[in-house]
Amino acid sequence: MNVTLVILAIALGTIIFRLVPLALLSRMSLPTWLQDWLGLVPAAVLSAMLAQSLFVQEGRLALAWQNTFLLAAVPTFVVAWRTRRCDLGLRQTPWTIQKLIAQDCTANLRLAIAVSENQPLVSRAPSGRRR
Amino acid sequence: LSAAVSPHVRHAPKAFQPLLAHMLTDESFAVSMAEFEQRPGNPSFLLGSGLAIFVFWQLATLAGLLFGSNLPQGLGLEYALPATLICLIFLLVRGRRGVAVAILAAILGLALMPLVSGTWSVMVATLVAATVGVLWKR
Repeated sequence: MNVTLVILAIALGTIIFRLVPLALLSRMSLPTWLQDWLGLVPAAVLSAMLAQSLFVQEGRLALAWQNTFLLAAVPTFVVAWRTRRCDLGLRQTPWTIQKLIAQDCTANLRLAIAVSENQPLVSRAPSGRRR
Repeated sequence: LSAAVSPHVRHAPKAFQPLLAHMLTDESFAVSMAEFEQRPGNPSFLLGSGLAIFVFWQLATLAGLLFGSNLPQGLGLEYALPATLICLIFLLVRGRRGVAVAILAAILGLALMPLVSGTWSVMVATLVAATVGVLWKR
């Protein structure tokens, strides 16, 4: 019973914290500097959370190679970086779903083509669907 | 997050806003903001991306409830969170200033950890880093 009450209270709190800013702020226009500031907040939150989850193990700073999270983060960074690049290129295609499915395969394909032909990754023909 | 997304849901019907707010997670936020930057004015993208994660979230919670205690240790499932965060950050960071703000937030978050408790150190690091970012531009 007690646990249920706690869960309900936290649920209510979460809903309020999500809904109130969204409902209120969407009704007024914010000054430019505040919009600028709000735009920087999300990446900063996630970055601070990421740093704490990567570098801190059992409450201590862990920078050695024994920290497997750090090791695993290296390939994750590479994949995230490459697929994001590709995602921007694919935005010319209208269908979001097609984009999502094609994203991963095309990232590798494009990279392979670019490397083998020694081309820069940035130049993309509009009809860039090679097989 | 909900404050940052608010300019983009201005045109959504008011009855729709509680639903949108409920669908707001770190993940749907990142995907939606990336979309709004390219093509603004379609709040339903937030609903769609939110629903996509919401369904699996509920199913996975159910699966965890039913089978979680039988899972062996050491599968490395804990790494799923940092991995998700890395991908989301790449979606959200824009330009040299964005990278600088993100790095500053990360360093501050680590530096503040011994001083204040977990959630608060993230909050303070974020507020300071974003403020520095805004001031830097001027």
